[in-house]
Amino acid sequence: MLARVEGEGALELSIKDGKIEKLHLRIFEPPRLFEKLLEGRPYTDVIDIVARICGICPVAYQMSAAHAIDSIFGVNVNPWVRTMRRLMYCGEWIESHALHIHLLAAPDYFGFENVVAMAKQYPDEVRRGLLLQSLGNRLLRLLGGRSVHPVGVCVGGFYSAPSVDAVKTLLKEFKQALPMAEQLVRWTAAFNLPDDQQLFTSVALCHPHEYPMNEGRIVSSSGLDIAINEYQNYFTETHVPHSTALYSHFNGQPYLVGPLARLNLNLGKLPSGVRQLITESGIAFPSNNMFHSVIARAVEIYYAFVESIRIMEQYTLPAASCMDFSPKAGVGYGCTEAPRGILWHRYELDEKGDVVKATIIPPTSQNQARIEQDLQTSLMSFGLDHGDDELRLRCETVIRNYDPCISCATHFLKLRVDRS
Amino acid sequence: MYFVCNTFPETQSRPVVKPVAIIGIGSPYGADQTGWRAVEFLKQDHALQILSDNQIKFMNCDRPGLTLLDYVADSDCAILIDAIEGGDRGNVIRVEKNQLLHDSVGFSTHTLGVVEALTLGTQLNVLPQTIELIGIEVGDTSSDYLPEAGTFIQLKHVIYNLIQSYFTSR
Repeated sequence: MLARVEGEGALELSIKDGKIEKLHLRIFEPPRLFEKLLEGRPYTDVIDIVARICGICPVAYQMSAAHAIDSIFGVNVNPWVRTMRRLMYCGEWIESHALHIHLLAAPDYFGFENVVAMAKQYPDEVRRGLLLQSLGNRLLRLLGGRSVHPVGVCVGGFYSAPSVDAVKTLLKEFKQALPMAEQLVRWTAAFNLPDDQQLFTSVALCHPHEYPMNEGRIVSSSGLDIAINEYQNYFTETHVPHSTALYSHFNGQPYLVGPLARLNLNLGKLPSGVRQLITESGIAFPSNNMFHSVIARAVEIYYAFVESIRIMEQYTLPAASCMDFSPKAGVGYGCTEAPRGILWHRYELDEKGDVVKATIIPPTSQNQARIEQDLQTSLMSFGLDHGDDELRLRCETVIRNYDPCISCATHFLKLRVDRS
Repeated sequence: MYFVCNTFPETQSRPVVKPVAIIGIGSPYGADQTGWRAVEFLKQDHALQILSDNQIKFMNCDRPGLTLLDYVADSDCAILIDAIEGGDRGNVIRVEKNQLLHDSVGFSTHTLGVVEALTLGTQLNVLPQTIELIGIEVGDTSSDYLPEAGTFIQLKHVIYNLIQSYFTSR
């Protein structure tokens, strides 16, 4: 079952003789059972239902599902559909990353309790975050009709194509905001981030010609290179007693998905202008400092702006916004790069196109084991002799750095320290 | 008819630069639909229909979070209508802004609501000059209660007064 993790979590920490005896990130959000809910439903329902799994990254769920069902029906989308799917994904990265950087992560690095407190001293930066997020949402509305749980995506493409005028209007605003996105990279690179080098395995999609969003093979920093339909041969999900979220492992070990993993594995796929900006920022990628995730998010916002502008400049109305197809039975896979990392779907459909079985593995559950591993290392490096409040803040900062859905409650963490 | 045509005489003599935004906040479920239903009722009102698109715009939004700041961005006057948990069902109340705003909100992207959005909007000075929140008390929000016509008629007069005050003050 798919166990979602948005909502409240808690950290249970036992320290004995100056060592961590137990560290459990407890997720007690009840399972939402979307996979079971999909069984028996027609393929036409799938994309709108899975969008409801997350209010921040619904497009990722829609795209993974659309690609999986396309593959079952043998749909080969035209270049217009492929490009618009990429454009829509850019919108989601922009809105999700902008929200996380400015509203959730930045207060940690500037020493504020929340974004309201930070806005008193840094109003321009917070305004920039809201503007960037708003532009990402505008892109989602352009193709999806609305920004939360969009309704424009269907199997084989989109229900309709936006007008040339609507695209031109948005293009103008994106060009105006591009310097802000560039400024954001420099801003995050100047954060006083902890220097916390760790060993971890990065996992992401990799496409031969472009920075990955909708397509590619699954690769890792340890040399894995597989087709998406081989995922379950290498990655396992298990239950743990203290969490309703499933824990994922690769070769029995935790691994990282998300912006830092993507950037570490796909640096060469970025346009030269984006790579130049990274060089000028003074941060070297690939990076083993998990706190560089916030910079990776900023880089991806800038890239998504560059890519959106490129696509919108070439926009024309299509002959058809959706491919013709006939439902058929089969098994299909979809794996796309959600803002938080790879989102893997598998569907088995019958001859009418009704769902027989669905499997959805979201990035947050893939990162759960890695978060616990990071906390172990980070806390030892930070020092366990700090007070409970300081430990809690450091733990929160480490966890929020992954942008898991549970980080949505900014001060969610209830820390219970047993110092026996 | 005279009343209908002259409910907002101030609009005839002064050009409106930005429209008044009337925004229903809620969701498609149970008593939380109240804000949306209220806006649908107001849209049918002749006196409000006489105001042009440049003078008034109606919107419904589903738990908008910070997107609320986008919805109000193009207006100098925004009137938000939302269901309020508890109280006497059908009671229409005008909520003062300072009753809502506080600094200690725990920001959460999934639970980020009207209060948090207005708090941040105030801090960033991006809210319209006039912003009004009209609450309709619905008791238990998990119920299927929806206000009766009398509540919406009462609401309509509150809205009339707010719009007249706004146009007069400009």
